[in-house]
Amino acid sequence: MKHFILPLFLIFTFSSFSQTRKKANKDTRNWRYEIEGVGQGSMGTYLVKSWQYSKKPRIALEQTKKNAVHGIIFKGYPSSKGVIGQPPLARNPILDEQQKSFFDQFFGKNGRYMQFVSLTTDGTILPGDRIKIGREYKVGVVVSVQVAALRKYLESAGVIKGLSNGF
Amino acid sequence: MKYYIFLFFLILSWSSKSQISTYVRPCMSISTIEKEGNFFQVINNSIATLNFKNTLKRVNIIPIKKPIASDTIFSEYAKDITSYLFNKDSNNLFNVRKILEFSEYASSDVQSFISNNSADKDQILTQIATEMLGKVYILTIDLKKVETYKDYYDRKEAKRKARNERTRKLGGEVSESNQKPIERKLYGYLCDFGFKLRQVNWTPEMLNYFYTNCWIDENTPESERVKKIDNFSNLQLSSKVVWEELQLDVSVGKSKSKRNGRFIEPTQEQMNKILTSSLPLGIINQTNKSIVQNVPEFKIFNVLSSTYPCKSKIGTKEGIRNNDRYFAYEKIQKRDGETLLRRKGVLYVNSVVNNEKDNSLASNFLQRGGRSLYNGMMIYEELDKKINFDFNYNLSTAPLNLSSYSLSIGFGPFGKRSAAYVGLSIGASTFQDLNYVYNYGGNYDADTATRVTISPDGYSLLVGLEFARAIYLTKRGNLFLYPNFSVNAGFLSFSNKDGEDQDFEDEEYEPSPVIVDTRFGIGLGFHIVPSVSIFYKPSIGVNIAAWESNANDDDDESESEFRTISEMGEDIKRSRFNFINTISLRIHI
Repeated sequence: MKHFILPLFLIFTFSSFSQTRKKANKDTRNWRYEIEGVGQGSMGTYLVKSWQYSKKPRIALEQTKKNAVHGIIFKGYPSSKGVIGQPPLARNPILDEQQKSFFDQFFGKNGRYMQFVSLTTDGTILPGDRIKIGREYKVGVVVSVQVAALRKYLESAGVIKGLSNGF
Repeated sequence: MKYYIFLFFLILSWSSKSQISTYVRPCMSISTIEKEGNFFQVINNSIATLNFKNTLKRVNIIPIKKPIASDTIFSEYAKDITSYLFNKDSNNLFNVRKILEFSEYASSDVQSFISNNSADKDQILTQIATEMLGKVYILTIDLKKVETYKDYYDRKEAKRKARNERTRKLGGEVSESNQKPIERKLYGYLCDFGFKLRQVNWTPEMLNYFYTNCWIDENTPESERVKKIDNFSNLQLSSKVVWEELQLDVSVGKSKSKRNGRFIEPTQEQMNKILTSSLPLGIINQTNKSIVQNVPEFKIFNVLSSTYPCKSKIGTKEGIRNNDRYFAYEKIQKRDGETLLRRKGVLYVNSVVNNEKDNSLASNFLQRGGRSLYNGMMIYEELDKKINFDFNYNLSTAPLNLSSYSLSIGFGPFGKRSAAYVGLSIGASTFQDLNYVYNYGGNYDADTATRVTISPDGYSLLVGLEFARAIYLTKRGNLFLYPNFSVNAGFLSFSNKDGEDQDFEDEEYEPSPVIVDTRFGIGLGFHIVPSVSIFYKPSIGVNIAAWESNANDDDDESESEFRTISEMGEDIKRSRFNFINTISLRIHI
């Protein structure tokens, strides 16, 4: 009997982690996040705070990075507190549906989105950026997104049009 | 131009200041009230010249430290501080280098990350500088009395002599202890002092006025400079007292040192060092303690950067110390949008990291009670006095458990990881029909003594000293083992010697036994709320010694006699080994 306990425990633990990730992924697909500018990023970068919603009190930092890149491509962020807002990279509102297979892969496990985003040393949260609202947790993490490189990548993949195409 | 941007952001960020920010180091200038007298002047000058960086770790010290008159107008002083913070030079030009330096030193690693990844690196530092301007303080120390230990002992000696003289005049007899001169153990100084902590009122309007009408830099036209210099010299900066202590005292003394078998008094050089260094440091240390405990702006707060092990990115730079207490809070937003902080746990600093040069390093904390904590929860410094009051109830009914109810006053936690405690207890219990044997008339000669057996009722008073450790069993630290060892003395008093042989009824000998026991036990404790915990403490008690004296004997010089436990009757012999069950309620302050 005792031989079964360890494998069962491992399966249970793994499935629990997997469920958490799936839930967070679902929240991202449903655009259950917010981003706001926290400063004028240095050349070619945006400095944003990615707010993530979760029923679990633990923060999925990878999900925070994914949300930030997703937000830069599809949502942009408004001006606030001396930070100039930015429009989304995708001007087409139904781009994610049109390029579904590309974005599934891009935001998938070990997707390329990770190349364009960096966290603080270990994803430290600023005081007051972890809020319990009802039964949910809203957590903000500051990330830096390399927008110039991201734009170039999306353009080269033919997902978005280059800036010069408009003229 | 850069300065205009800085000041623009300064005003902008003031108006949009977020409700909760990171801990921002206050800026503090130290002044002393001018006083006549050699000691006062020496100490005031020392306070003005000594570096208190290691004592006042959590503040930026503004090196404007000068003795001032008691009626000084603090607006002038505040302007000196402003000139320092905005780096005013001999040409009356301001710049923001100094305040940005302070901001950079005070920034957290997240703020450094934002700053390093921003196009305008100074923007985040400007926000910190803004908050820093709201936390500019002037500390004024008022020395009230300084005297040497020699003067102190002389005063006590004169008092003793006067008291003895009075006693003799009234026909009384001076006790032996009062006949001895006051012992002079220490050489050094004692000081009574008070202090006031004023906060400079930097309002957005004041800042705007300062920027518009007083600020001068290289870009300011020559034609405007004279007027702006004039405006600055007429600027009225208000300040308010945020905390004051009227009576504090500090003493620094040194005992005689032994050299070549002889005791030698401290040299004049050593005495001077006490006056010019140790005493001013002691004054600042006491002042700092009071401020940190009572002024919220001086309490550290931060977030947990990781949990289990719990870590937060604060350390020596903020002046945190091992075993400092912090409460962890969760920010909750209600349906109407109002936010509040709810306490979730208690943490104690376990190891302090040196983060002077690297603000990404984190100190270690141990949770001691509360719910599960998560990354991002806020922690606030809530220093405790490390005093414990234990209300103990002994469940065992054996007569010589020494106490049924006892109160312990203890100190702790101290030490690393497992918290150490030490406590002093007093208690009382009653007993009935105690089988007790004593030797008639206090005759302790075993061959000739007449042994008398009595069954008295009475009570026992306990005095004990306990040493213990708390070993935390769970990661949240709610449940803990409490191995403890104590030494107790029980003073038994008989109220009714029922059953005494009629022959001894008029006996003037009243046996008054003292039982000494040691106890070893492992308790189990549970934190109900941060300040209250409950224990179950089973322990084994071993009676190790006993004395007996005559309670009716008023002569102080009569000596107690050592008695073996087995000589004192069946009940005491039987209770040589006790199993003691105690339930305790601890209140920690």
